[in-house]
Amino acid sequence: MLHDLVLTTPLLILLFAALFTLVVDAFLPSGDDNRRFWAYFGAAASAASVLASVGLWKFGGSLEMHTTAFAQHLSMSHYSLFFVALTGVCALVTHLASPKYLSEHGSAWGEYYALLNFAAFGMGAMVASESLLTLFVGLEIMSMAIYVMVAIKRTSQASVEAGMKYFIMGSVASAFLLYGMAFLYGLSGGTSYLDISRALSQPGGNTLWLSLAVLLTSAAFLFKVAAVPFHMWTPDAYEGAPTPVTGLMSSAVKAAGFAALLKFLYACLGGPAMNTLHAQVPVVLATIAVITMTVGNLLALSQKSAKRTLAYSSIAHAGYLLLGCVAVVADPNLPGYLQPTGAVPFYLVGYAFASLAGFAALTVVGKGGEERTGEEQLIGMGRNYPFAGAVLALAMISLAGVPPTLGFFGKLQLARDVLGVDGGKYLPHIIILVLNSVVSAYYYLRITVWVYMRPDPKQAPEYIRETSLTWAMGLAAAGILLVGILPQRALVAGQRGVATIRTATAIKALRYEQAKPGPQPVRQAAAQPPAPEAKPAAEN
Amino acid sequence: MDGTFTQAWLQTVSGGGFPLLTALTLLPMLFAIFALFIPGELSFAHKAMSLVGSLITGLLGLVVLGQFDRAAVGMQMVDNFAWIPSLGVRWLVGVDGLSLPYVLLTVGLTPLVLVGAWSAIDKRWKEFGIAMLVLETGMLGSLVATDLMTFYVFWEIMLVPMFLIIGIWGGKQRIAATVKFFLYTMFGSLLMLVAILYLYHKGGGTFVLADLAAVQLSDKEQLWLFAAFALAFLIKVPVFPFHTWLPDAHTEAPTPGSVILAGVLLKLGTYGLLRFAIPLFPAAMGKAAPLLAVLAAIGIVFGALMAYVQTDVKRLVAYSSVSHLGFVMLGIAIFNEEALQGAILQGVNHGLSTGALFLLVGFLYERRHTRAIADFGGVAKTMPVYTAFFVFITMSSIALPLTNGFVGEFLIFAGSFKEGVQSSILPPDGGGMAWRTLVLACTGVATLGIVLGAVYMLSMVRRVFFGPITNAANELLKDLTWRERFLVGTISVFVLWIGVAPGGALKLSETTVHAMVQPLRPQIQQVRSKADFQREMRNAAMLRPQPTR
Repeated sequence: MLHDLVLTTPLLILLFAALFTLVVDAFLPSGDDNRRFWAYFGAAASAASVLASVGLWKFGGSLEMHTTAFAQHLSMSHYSLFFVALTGVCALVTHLASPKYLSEHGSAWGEYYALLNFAAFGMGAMVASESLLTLFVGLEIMSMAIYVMVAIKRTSQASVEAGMKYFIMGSVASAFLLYGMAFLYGLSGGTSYLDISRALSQPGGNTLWLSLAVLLTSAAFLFKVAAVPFHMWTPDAYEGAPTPVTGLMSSAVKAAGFAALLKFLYACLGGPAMNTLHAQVPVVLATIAVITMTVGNLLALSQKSAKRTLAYSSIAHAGYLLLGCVAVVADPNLPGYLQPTGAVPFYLVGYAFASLAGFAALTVVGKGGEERTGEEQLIGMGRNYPFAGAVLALAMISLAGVPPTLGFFGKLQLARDVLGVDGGKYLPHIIILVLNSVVSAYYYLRITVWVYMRPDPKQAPEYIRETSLTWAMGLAAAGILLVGILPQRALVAGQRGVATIRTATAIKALRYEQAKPGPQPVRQAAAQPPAPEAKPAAEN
Repeated sequence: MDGTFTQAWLQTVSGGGFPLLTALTLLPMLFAIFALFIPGELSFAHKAMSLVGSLITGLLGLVVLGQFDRAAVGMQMVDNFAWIPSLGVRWLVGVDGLSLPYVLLTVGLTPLVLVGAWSAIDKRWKEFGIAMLVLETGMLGSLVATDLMTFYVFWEIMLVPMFLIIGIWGGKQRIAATVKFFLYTMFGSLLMLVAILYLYHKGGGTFVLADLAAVQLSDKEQLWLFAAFALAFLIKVPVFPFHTWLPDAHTEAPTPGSVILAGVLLKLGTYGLLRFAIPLFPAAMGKAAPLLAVLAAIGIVFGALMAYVQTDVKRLVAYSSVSHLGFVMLGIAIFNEEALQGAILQGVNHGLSTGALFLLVGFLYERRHTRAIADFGGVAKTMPVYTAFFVFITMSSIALPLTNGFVGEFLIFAGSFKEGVQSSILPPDGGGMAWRTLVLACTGVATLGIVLGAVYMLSMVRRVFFGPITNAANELLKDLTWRERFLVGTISVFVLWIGVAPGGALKLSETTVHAMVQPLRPQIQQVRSKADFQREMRNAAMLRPQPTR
């Protein structure tokens, strides 16, 4: 029990912070200043959670703990810790960016910060899940919290509409997920990834039902990460939501969605479950990826507001990331110098920092309940609020993938790894990806042009200026630049993360083979090489 | 912390030699970071900061020149650190005779441009100073990098500051021009990125140029990869059909932007061809050389004719760049020692003379706020010193003997006539006849371009400077200040020096060009004369005695 609690410290911190906020806030006197306290409290909790993840990452190996907790329902492997830390940073920045904006919009509720912590907890549970049950519970905790946060501006029609739309569409997606899980349970007789991968590797399984199950389940994930054809909710929800929440949605929700998707796919397809789907899923993923990025970029071209542009851009980035998933799913087939591929985790770090910075900088134009982020609002920002203007421009440059920002190295690694799959099988997809980048550069530049190059308006707009918001922008911008120029650590961390889910699958295969009656097969020797990776070395 | 900087520091303290090129490259960026923390209101501090940064970089450049061994083959002053081991990216920098002239041009022009900008840039000096310093780091990094990914990173870093310089401080149509510039260049570069990654996989996970040059590629692969690399570089140069971004960008850019764009950025296109595209894919270059030669010839004449009909002085100079870079491209397409030497030198020459022309046009624009030729006339009466400088630089631009332009163009023509008349590798009896005819034809057309160059430049000079003063506003023009005289005078000294005694400048690149042409030229030629070779084989087969039973 203690072991479980120690392992899940990063999640428990978030959970108790949320509960504490919820209970104590009811007894605090009203007034925006008292609500502001919760922003700092939540930021501290997120920071503590991130530190706990880093600590577990560093010392987890030397304590020789198993990484699974709570009867193998959660696994705090390097993979999970990586994403818990990433979503924790996203929550931290969102906490810092929120308070003044919420006061300006008359929705400074203490519950907002509780929900934010709940959402972060849900994401953590989602990425750490080792079974369909915890996956679903984590996903729903995250989703419910986000639905409410999107609609938290009760008096704003757009906000409520966005929340409603997101809620209804999200519920349908959850239904899909449950339906797919039901099939998986029927096929495998268990809900844990271990049971599933064990059952699916039996010869003579029913491919049709398996395909259906994977299809339904993946559809729910594709909805969460806003991939075509499940992207319809994105522009409205992103635009209607309070800007800091939009930042959280495009960074942390997307990261958690991809993390869970990859783990799920790995459990169903990788390792022992070398079933027929293993050849088909990457092709399907790559096709969806190409369609998603193209649709997202083309639709973003004609948008008038920066927030809506970034919503479509987030669809496009989902496309890039799906292509990265191809490399991760095909990981065992990659040439040696590419293994293990950290394409998706590292790209998500870059995308998270860039969109956090972008939306934090867009938060400053939300003065006085204003919620438009078009050309008029952004003109002259580079002169009248140089810091926010520079952060916004930097975020755009990173999203466009221009070096030396983090966005470039993310795209570089992703393109490199996907190109290495099956001897350049996905070369056309990569060419489409880079052409998409050129298209996307146009609308990112347009925002930069608004900020810096148009003649100043006669009357400068009012901006939200606040220390904590400045910190939020500064943190995200520093992430873009520092991790961009010296990306080695983040790259290695991402690779080790993916290595753990690979190793986990290999160990599962080993245990499975050992548990099998009869003579030991030769595969035991094949499973030997990943063994050193199972023991996290102390160097990181 | 990671690789590079710790290792560089360790190398320094352990007596392994100061990482000179690393310092040279990163110094401007360091000053840009300092400048970030100075408030924007203190524009004088930013002027001083950027100037000091670029001057110290210039001094380091001189140290590099002092340590450079002209007789040595291969890269010198190499710094080799692991930068991003997970991606296989190495911080591998070095100079040789190909890059050193451009490194010197960069570190020399940047301080001059910054001094020139004191009057040309009247707002937001903080952003301007930072952009210029980052741009300098980008240019230097592209020139010294010999790891393809490091090169690519710096190649792209150049885009953002230039985008801002044109977009913030440019003319009326600046936004359209700068977006066009950015997208056009990025399009070419990204396809090159895919090619680099493809090559990376072929080479088994390395970006190091020397390793990748040894990778065996099929003819088809070579051709496609060369096409991707060449597209990126030809857009940057720009060669004839890809030039459309250049007149807009040049015209709308503020004077410092134009000078850097013409002076260094365009040269990086030809430099990239010589450094990367040709050594990596010599066989494909053999196939593409006729096309490149023809495009170069078209560009020379087209640029000249377009320049002739311009009504705006700056646009005229911009089109003259298309024409001048056609000569450089012709020298590269010919690829023998004389032509290459000429091409490298002509690149530097163009940087000096066109840079000076843009500065001069900028001085006039600051006084009159117009650049239309029709608004001027008789300026020589009110601005004699200015006129003297302008006419001198014009002479350099149209390649009058005793100016630098003459030396460069003469060498290119010497090389191309040699190639056309007596190719040193092909057998004299008919082999490669088509290629020789083509070379002679292109050279002929290019010679026409020289005449046209004189036509458009001199007619512009006549209309602007001589004749009666038709416009009353020109009566009150003030002649050049001492600061302006210093700027143009410094460049003029180099123009004259290279023109009168080109030996020193040519010696810099002599060994490198020799070492480059020697192994590559046979590979290029081999492909070019393949058709001839096949014909010979057929003839030999017919002559072979039939086997008898």
